[in-house]
Amino acid sequence: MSATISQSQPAGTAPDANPAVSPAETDLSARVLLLLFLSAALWLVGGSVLGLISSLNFHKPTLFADCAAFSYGRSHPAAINALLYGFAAPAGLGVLLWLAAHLGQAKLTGIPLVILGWLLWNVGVTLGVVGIFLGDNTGHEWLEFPRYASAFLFAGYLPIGLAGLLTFKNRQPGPLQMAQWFILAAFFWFPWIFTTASLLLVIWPVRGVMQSVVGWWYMNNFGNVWLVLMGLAVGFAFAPKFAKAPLYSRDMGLFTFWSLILFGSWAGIPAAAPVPSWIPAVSTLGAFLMVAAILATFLNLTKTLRQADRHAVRTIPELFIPFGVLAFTVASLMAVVSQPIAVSVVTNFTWFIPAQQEMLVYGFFTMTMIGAIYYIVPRLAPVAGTDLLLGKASFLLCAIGVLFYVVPLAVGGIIQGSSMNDATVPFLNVVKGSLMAIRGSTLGELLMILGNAIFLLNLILMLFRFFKTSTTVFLAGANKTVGVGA
Amino acid sequence: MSAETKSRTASPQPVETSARGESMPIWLVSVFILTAFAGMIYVAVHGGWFDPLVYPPFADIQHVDAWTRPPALGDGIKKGKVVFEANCAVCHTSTGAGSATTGCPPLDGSEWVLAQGPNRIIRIVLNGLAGPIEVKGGKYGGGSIQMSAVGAALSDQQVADALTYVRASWSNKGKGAAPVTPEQVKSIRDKVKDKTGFWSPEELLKISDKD
Repeated sequence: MSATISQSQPAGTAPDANPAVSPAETDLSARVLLLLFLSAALWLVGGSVLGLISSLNFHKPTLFADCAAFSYGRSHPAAINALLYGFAAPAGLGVLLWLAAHLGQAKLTGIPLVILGWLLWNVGVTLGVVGIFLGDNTGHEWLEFPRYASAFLFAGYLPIGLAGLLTFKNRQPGPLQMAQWFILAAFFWFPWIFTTASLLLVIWPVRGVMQSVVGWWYMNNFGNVWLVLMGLAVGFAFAPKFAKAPLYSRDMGLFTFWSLILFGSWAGIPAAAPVPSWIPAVSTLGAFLMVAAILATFLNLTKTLRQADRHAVRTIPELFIPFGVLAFTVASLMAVVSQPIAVSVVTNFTWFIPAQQEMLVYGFFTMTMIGAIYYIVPRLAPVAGTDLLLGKASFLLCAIGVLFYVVPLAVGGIIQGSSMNDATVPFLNVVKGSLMAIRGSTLGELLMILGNAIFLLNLILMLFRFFKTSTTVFLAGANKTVGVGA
Repeated sequence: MSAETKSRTASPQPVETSARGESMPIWLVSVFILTAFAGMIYVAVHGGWFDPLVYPPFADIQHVDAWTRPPALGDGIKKGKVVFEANCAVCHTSTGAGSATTGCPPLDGSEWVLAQGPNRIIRIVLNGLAGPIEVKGGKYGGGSIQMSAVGAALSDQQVADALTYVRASWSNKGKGAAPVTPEQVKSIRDKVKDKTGFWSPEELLKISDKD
């Protein structure tokens, strides 16, 4: 590790003594991130196929009736966790590491740390998914990996997070750019919430209903804070990049940041939760306090993007990332609206909640990260004169897919909730009534699988062409041959 | 070499890394203030004033009290049955008949149970009893057969409920034995707190069964 640091900075010098590094040199030092992106894309396709398998249980309940592993109770959490820990976390961390180096005009520091963390992390995810299929599910939503897998995740995060902080530390002096605020917070947020929730739920479980409170707290922090921190880091870094113009407002960016940090983690406890009333009530207050920040983010990023030249041809990342900004706004407002008891009495325990989560995790986060990775990978593995395969089609498949998933489930969820509250409607009719919405969502899942598969295919093709044409030695040579890639 | 010279000249920051100083529009500031205000009103209406006893859908503790049924006389007997079945019925049996073979005296129709006041039976439950003891004309216990201090681990309310149940069940029902209150149990528990060992029937008979 110390060897890596000394490559970019002689021991004993202050950080501001680092010479600024050109973008090409940064990219050359960050080639290790291709590992993270490739494994993330594999898990994205794998996880979405698992998701489809779990959905098949709705359409033909007898399909896996004799196969416990593929029953909904196992295949669904396996799919969700594969997407969250297999795809979302490494993709987000990889993009953040690249951004931390790029925005700081520094090289990526701690390459061995990244490789070590990547290995441990993926061992953890593999163990966790297999563990869920074998029935070792912990029973806590979004934290279903058994504890032997969680231990690997924690051990894997530490070196990656450390590499992130070391890279961040080597940045050029000066006031932080907006995205850098989000990057730094994201590096600290995950270890905090993951260790807290794992200790309180899996290692030394708290008693009774407190488990649910911790569980809700973790889910909200993971989805509505950590993923948002990482996704908005991309938004705040890339919107000005695409527009070739400054960010619209630094004040509004800071307002978003501090609102998220201060109030973001309050929300997420449903109004009807069987806990003392003040807990969901304060949770609702936290959700309300986020409204202005959500609107400020939307306004800030769209006004930044509007500064772009209208006649310029849009690249593929310029489709994905603005879609992510829009989906962030919709998903976050859906979460706020479904929080107070007047609405929660309808939406709670219905398909509305998974619809909101999909809008956030896929519509916002995954779309944003696919866009960022499409932007970054050709720079890490440059090959002249090649274009993305079916780039626009992949965007359309993902975008239409997520809409097909979210809209029917959100509408179906509201209908489902209203009829569940109507004592004259038999419960079985309610269940049958939601089938149409589930059919729509499964169609959406199919489209998203296709989009994800094209994404994976593109990554593999880019890497293949790069290996074929490049004379540089992959990874190992990255530091010794500074300048060749430029 | 060239990389070195390039990095020296790469310092000027590209325009996209800067930010304009636009301030937040006033309508958005108003949205923030209004949503914060609405959220606080929501907490005032639905938050139960931070009382740990107020659960949804109740608004405050008065609301909870108004909707909570006051304990009726029958409730103590129902709860007492649970305590009895868990702690006493193993020996005294669920029908209160006891068992001559195990040396455990009956509670059904027992003159000790049906005494005017519960002073003696509370003591038996709290500290235990070493026999032999005469109940309904028969001799029970003695030697190694003793009743342990079962009530030591139970609350005043549980002891009172169990005794109330015993005094109002089987053929004891309708014999006019008054319910046992937690206050009675508490006062006796305070009086016997220094006692070591079990009661003997002789010791108990010296104590008035009723205050």
